[in-house]
Amino acid sequence: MDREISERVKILVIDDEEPIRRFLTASLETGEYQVIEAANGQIGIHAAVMHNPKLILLDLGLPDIDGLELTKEIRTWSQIPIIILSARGQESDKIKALDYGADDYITKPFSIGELLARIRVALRNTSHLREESLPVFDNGTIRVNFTTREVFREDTLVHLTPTEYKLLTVLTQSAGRVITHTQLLTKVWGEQQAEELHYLRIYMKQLRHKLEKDPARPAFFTTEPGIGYRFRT
Amino acid sequence: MKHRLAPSLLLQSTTRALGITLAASILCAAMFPFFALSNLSMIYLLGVTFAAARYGKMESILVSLFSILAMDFLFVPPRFSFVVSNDEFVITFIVMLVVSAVIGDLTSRVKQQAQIVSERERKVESERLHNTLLSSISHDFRTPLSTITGAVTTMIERGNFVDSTQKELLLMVREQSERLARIVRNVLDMTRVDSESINLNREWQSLEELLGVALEHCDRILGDRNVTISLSEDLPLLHLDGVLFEQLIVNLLENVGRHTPPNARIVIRSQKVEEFVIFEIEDDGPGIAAGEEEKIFKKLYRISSNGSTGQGLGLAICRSIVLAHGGTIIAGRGELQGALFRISIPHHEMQKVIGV
Repeated sequence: MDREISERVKILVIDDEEPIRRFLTASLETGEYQVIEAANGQIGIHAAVMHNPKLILLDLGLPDIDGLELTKEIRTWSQIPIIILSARGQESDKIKALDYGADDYITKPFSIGELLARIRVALRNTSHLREESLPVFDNGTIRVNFTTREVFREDTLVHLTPTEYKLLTVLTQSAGRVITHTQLLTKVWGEQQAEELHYLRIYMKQLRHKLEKDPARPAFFTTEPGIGYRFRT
Repeated sequence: MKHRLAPSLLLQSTTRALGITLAASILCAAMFPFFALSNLSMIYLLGVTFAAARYGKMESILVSLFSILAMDFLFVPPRFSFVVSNDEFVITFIVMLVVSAVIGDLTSRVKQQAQIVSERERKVESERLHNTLLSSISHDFRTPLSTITGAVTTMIERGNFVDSTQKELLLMVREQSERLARIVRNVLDMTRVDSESINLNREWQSLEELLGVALEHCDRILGDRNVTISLSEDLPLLHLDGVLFEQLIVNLLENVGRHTPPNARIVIRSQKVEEFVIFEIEDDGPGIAAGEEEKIFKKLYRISSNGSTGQGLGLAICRSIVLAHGGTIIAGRGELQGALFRISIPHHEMQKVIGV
């Protein structure tokens, strides 16, 4: 069923590589999305103001404005979800972009399925029905009752320490999205402990062992090396 | 350069030496009326130094010999004969010889060292250029590869194949474009990891996590192979470059996937042994040919016998990454009678490192 043009969700693609823009337009404009293309940062900002897209796909390697600067700039006047398109091996840039307010990233080459999933998560987080306002989190295997503070794995009650519970809560709030080490540490342990990566590693391991069927091949608590974690939905 | 006294070389050296001595002699002749003989010997020493700096040891020796003869014949009384009137001059000549020898030796040694340094610099420069070229070519490959992989994966995900042949062809395109992407990735990694100043971004890492990421990356290439994982309970966190280490595990798993039959068994284990953490991957495949256990880590090594066409960088990169972390990696035969790769990484006690 084709949506009316006006109902389609506008996505702004800012990438200087024409083949990438073509690929994204062809793959995304299959029903629910409408793509607006911008070949550099200036055009991108202009398009963002003009068309008011619901989401921006932003390439880090732009010729005129640094992608990180662009992220910062957009964040000064909009909370529009931004997904970074990056190449392999740019971890510090990805972290910076995420810390400046980008919502997620995806590494080239990627499949459109992967990108669609991340787009869906990013769009959902901006809707007024945020996960954190719901009393229960349930992804089919792991269920968290925020009122009673009970955690179930496939209907079996699992005992978590207060810190483990807090970590799990923060993760459920950003389910499907990447969250950097710093963001996690700050939210669970506070700003003072933002550098204590080993705490995070130890507690993530404990969560994996308590809540994953196979902790060495996690289905939910996945790692993004050099960047952070992603609690998959 | 060793002394190759080929006749033509000797002739060349002699000619040069004669020329220098002649020049020095002419200069001395011009100065003779005004200067003492001892000062003239300095001119000849200049000639020796010039010969050593400009040409080499042979020339400087010859110039010193010719110079003594020339000075004796032309200037030392009685002039125009080799007889020496005063025994003092014999000492002068001996001292000249000794000084010439020392000057000649020192100058040629300095020259040699300068040559070695400039050769080394040239080698470093050429390798840097080589890496830059490889890296820039590989970067140029990335957008086309990303686009191809993205497009074909999208087509496969959408389904709706015209027939099974089309599906098969699309799967092939994806498989081969992923293979190309692997090669490009390995070349880029090699240029990064090859340079002596490899920049490790060390952080506390969990081996279990990195293994999980690697296994997911290699899901398709490992296929239906049975993978057993056994990580000991007391494994400490390791201070590693997570991105590189995950890449290393991926390379090892890809290697296993390429060289074992589709239903092979794979065992991955890790345990702490005193100061080290041992990480092993072994399979029940055909194993490594005897005698090749070290060679497989060389760049561009290729197994020609079983027709496997892996490019030879994956394991070389593994070794570079392991070495950069102060560890070792060896290959051999495991209990399952297939290949075994064993990595040994020194672990720092956390307390020591974070000062707790």
